[in-house]
Amino acid sequence: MAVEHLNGEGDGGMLQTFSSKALDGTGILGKKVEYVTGDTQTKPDAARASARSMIEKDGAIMVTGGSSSGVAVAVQALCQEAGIIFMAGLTHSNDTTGKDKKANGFRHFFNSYMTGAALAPVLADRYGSDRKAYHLTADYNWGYTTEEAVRNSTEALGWETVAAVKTPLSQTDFSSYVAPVLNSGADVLVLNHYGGNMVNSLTSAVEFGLRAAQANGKNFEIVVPLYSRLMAKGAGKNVAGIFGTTGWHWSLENTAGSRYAGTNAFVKSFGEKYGFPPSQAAHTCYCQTLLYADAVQRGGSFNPCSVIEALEGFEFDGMGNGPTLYRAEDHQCIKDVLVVRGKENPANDFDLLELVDVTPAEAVTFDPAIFGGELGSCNPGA
Amino acid sequence: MSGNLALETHAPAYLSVHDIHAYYGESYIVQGVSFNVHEGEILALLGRNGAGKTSTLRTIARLDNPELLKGEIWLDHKNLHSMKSYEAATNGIALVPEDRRIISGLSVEENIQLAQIAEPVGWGLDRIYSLFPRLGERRKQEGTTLSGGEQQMLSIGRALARDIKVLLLDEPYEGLAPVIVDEIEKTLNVIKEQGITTVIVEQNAVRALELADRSVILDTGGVVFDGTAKEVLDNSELRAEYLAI
Amino acid sequence: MDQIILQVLNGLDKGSAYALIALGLTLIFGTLGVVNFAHGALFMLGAFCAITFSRILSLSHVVIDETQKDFLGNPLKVDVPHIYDWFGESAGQAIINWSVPLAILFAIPVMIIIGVIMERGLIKHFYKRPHADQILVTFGLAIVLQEIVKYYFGANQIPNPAPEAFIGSFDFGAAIGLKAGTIIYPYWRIVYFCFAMLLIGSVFAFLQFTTFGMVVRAGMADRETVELLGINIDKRFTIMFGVAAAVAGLAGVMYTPINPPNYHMGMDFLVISFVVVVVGGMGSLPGAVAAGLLLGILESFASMRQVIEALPGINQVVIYLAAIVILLTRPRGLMGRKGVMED
Repeated sequence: MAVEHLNGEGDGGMLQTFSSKALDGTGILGKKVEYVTGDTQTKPDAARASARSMIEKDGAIMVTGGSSSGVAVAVQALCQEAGIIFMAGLTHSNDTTGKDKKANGFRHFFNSYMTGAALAPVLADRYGSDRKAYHLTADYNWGYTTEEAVRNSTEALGWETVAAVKTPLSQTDFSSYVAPVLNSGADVLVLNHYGGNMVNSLTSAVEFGLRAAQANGKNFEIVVPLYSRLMAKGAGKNVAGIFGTTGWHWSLENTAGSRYAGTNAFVKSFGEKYGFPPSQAAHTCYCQTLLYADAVQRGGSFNPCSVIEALEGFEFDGMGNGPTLYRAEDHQCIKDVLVVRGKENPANDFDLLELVDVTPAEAVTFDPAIFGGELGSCNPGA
Repeated sequence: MSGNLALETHAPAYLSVHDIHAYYGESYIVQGVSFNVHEGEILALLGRNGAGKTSTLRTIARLDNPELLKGEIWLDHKNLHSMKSYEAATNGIALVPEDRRIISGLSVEENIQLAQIAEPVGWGLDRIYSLFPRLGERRKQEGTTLSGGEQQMLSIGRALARDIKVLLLDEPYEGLAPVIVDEIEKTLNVIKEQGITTVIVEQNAVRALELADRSVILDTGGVVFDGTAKEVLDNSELRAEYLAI
Repeated sequence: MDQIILQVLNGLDKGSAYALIALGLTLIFGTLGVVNFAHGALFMLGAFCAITFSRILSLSHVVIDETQKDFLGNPLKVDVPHIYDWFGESAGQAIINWSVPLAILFAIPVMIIIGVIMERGLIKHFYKRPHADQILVTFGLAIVLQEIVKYYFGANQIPNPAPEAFIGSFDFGAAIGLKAGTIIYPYWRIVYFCFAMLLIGSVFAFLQFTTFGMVVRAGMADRETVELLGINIDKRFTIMFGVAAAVAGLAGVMYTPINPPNYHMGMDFLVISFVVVVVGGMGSLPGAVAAGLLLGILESFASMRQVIEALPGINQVVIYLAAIVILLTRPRGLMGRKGVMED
């Protein structure tokens, strides 16, 4: 849909609310935009192969999308080698703009650290600071950094981490991992899981009575650090009352005000085209595409080095997240983070989450040096 | 050769085996065997170990091995050589194998009932138990727990439970004590009185010859003698050469 | 102590699924002598039978409800299932609610047909071929089936909930006299275990107490002799393939509330089921069932936190380790017939 809007078709979507007016619907630098798609199968090898084919055979000059940090890190490295720009899609691990950062890569979506920083104060406020947490963590880079972020930020506020167990990424039946939680001495279960993992582990946790249970004299609680509405849909009623974070939500402008202008424009375009509201994944990919196009237009060239220069330090607004900075040191967008909770009585399938708090960008800003890694220099390619 | 001509020249008798060649994989075991058995006759198929007697019986019973690659087998004017083993069985062939092959997990009675599932059915349970009272006593017992002699009775009883035209007996006396052999021999006499055409393969050649009407002797896969049983019993040179007795 | 009971329960219901699949595999190997690597796919197809059935039940037409609005502010379009029109809303809701158990009726004939087609169409040509060929062909078939399902149903898992009456858990600890709240176990998993035992019992009863079953048992023990008695065992074995397919399919149908089905669940279960069959003893039906339950429990225990802390990663390899140990010490498996697979 982003491509359509760039080429001047459709209703223009966020092009109208975007703070930069460099794009005007005539393509990029006057050229029409085309695209090809590939299936990463959430596997880094498959993603690399697909991306390589798109670069070499189809002549792609920018790659975006992907729904896993394993995939993102792999494809980002490939794009750096190949000298094209990578505008990451859905990737939440610190590593993507942390230890695995690359000059040709950019990430708009927020990361694990920001989740921890936004979530912990709300959790301490609602659940108290005398809590014992049990972590179930997906066994790959995203799981690790999310667990680390939540642990660090909650422990700083007084929580104790009773246990942290890794679960295989391909696991579908979490019953044997969930069963021992109730008697472990913990009173909070943190699910560092995404996608199918989260739907299954959460359903298991509820099935085993964790939601209704008591431990240490308090109500047992479950926390899902990274939410998405699609996952919430898969888990259905089980998400009621469960806290987590998201980068964006389709109802944001209506519930939190005009700071988040751009949201409704995007929801309207997407909703009319596809019949259902967009997810945060769709939002980030749409934004990334527009941001890339805009950077090319402003820099006057498709050369990756020119694009990189145009994006580094770029401040923008009107894309649904409020004022945002594309930081030069690590190519990470710094913006507000939403703390959400599953609704007790959702009105419909798309109304499953309610906004609890918005953590401003300043509160989630971190020193890029804490994750190490080197950007390196831009690779303009052939 | 056309069907009818073949029938007349190759199938003059009730059971006609005409120039059969059978292989176990690459091994050429039955090397051009031919003989005829008339209705109601008992034929003793004799020879040293490895002469191909068991293989000949298995070929007639149309088992998968040895494989019949050339030759014809006719039973009561029916073309047996293009049939599978279960078809041959429903057309009147019954093989009582060398190792008895009582089916484990089934009782004595179930073993017999198994034989009565496919048409045409022969003797009923009562008749079989009156011929073999010991089977009747052990009817609910697991078949494989019977003694060697009892298993042999069960194997023969199973064959009789079907309405058969030719009974093929492979070493019915093997491994049995003389007293038991006597019992089995009595049963075989009863079967002889019933007029059931029989081919009997037996290491104990003398016993077999006393029961049989005619005899065929095999040596390394081929026929070396075809005549009456009395001829073999009387000819000690013949016996020494091909039967080592 | 309650930890142990909990893990045993957990192992029993996963082990039941393993046992059911292994039972079918052993039936097929014991009768047809075929190593059927497509059996996991049958489990998967059963699960998708349940999904298809519930989708059929939910076929609806759109009704515009002016009193409610959707997310764009337009009048809300509500899907009303045709079933509501035919049976009334409450009966219709009840039928859809019970779609998983009702799917059993739908799945049995479908799976038998699929099994017979698979056997007559492909597998029967491989009876006399070496086991390696059979493995290649059936594995290839499994992949094809998997991709077909992925094409039609998408790559994401599809939830299929249990009837409302069985959602939620009950206090198992209290039921057996322990302190309340110590052992809580979901209803449906217990239902699944009971269902699996019932199904296994039925198969054994069928084999033990019917004439057809007797012939099949005889054929498994000594095929040649059964044919010498005039019985065309191939026809009966084809039917047993259909039965084995139905057993795997039903295992899949009832498993859908436990784990939302996706296209690769067949593969996930297949490898473990083969380990189960080998550990239980190729050709032994009771061995397959016992090994399935035991390995399920073993896997459950290996997922306990204390065990993982002592031996990191053990949960992913424990089943294979157990298989290696058993095969080194007793190659025929726990209850296998001597000589099978020992060459």
